[in-house]
Amino acid sequence: MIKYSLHVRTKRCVAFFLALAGGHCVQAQTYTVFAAASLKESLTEIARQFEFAHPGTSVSINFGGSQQLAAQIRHGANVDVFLSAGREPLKGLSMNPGSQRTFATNSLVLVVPSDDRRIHRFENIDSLEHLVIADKAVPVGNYTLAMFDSAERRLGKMWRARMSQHIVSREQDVRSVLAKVELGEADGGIVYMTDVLAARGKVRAIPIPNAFQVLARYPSVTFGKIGKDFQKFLFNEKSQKTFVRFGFGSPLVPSHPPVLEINHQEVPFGAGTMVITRFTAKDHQSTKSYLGYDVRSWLRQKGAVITLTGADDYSVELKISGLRSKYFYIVPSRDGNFQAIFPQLSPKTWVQWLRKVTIR
Amino acid sequence: MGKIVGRWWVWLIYGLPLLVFLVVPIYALVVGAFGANTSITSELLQAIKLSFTTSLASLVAVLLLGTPLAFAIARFRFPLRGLVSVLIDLPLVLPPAAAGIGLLLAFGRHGVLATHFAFTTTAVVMAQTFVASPFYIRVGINTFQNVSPDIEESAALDGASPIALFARITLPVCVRALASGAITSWARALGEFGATILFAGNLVGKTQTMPIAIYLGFESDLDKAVLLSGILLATAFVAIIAVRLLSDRDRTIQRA
Repeated sequence: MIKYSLHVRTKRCVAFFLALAGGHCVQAQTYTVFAAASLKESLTEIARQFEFAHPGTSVSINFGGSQQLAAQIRHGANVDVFLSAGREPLKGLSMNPGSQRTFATNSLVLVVPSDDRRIHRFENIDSLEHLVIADKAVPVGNYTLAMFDSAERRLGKMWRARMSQHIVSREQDVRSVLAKVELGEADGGIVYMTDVLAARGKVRAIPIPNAFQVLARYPSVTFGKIGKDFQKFLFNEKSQKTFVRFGFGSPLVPSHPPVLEINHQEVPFGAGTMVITRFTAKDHQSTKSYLGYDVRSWLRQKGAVITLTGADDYSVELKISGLRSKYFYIVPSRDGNFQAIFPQLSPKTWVQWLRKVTIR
Repeated sequence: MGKIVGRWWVWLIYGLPLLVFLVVPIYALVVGAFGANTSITSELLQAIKLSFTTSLASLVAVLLLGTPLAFAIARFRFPLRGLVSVLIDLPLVLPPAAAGIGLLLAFGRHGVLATHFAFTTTAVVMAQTFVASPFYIRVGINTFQNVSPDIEESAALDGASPIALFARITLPVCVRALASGAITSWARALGEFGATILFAGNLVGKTQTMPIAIYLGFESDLDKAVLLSGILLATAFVAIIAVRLLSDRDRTIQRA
């Protein structure tokens, strides 16, 4: 457990005096966060930002292998937010239903000791004598095997067999893989892109060709009431920038307009009768005026089911016949993302960072 | 006897919470192991096999090298003897994870001695020997110190060489006590985890011992982990009974 006790204590003192001065009490709250080992540096910083933004709160983080943390949660560990390196560990956890949100992405990389000049291409990994990877019990181990599988399709069974012979250990978390390469005890290891930055120059990274690369999606889930605040904080601009600075990908960065799929057929976004209109909708605080695409023409078919999915993997499913006003708008935002807004429904159903619309 | 110090059950009641605390997890492990919904996979068998072979190998190393060391400390005065005696005990209290780092920095490819043992089955044996040897050597020192010099002296008068004297006279006298130390040391080697995972890593059939399989099983397959824990528990139980029997017999012999 990492606890910023000194930091927190100073802040509590400040909060206490503020409370005296202002005549009201500031409630001290502790958020317990379980987080994948690969999040160590970035999340430590974001937690500090969170504490700074919410005086009187403290964040206590337990870093470890995602599966191990999940096992602790299954056995009754008290936790508000769980940040996993993959979806697999979430199986069988009793988190708040519908709370799963992807907040960061990661990719794999081959690391070798920085003084080792023998290898320059990922394809030559089979020439390394001592190779260390993560065990399949943790997400990075699963991603590694998936990556090897797709590389095998291109490079052949012999390549895979030669490489597998050189695997000397399957470590219990990604940081142990990194440590063994840092110490020079292994000639190479497969770790996350973000770990290279954590190694501070002791390892050299050799990129994995895009054709074999896998995208690791990091889901967050909440337990109980207070976790939501912390989870929401992960999605603000500053936190996302922090993740990116530490080598993660931000799922919220738009790469293309939302994919539109009607009756299993992909339709180009913006085609047909999409018109930009002005409309008003009431969000949590006030009624605002928006400018967005009116997509009413998509929804002629009665009994159809619309599924909207955001970049954070949040998805909303609605049946058209069950709604009084069955229309929504797709609103472009300044950062190039799109948001789906149902003016008649609660903002909870609105989907931010819209990536996919399916109508069936 | 014992009436002055009170009745046995009064003392037992005071100690009961601790007893319950110790017994309940063991009970839970036994119940869990019998109810474990898992089959003996080849991975499981390999871990069991590896654990027993490596721990026996480390036992052999401890016996062959630990016995003379214990004898030297028990029976002779030499420079730095006190320091040597302390160093031998150090692994008893040193966290095994620290021991693993130490082994890696000493015997790793870039370590002080720069060997190629890391991540091999030999590394498992080395880690086990490192943490388990004091359990045997400590008992050895105490035992050798308690041998009455009279027996050895009379044999020496008969013209026996030092090695023959040790093998024919000293060793037979001490064999029970040494055996109980050896069993404790072996049981400790069997349960070794922290130093092993750091120095030897984790590879099925090569370095994945039972404790490491338990640790990883906790994350992926709890039933497997519980079953292995049950096996280790049963082994530990048998080992302790054996140590008990040996030392009880020893005491009756000495008393006689």
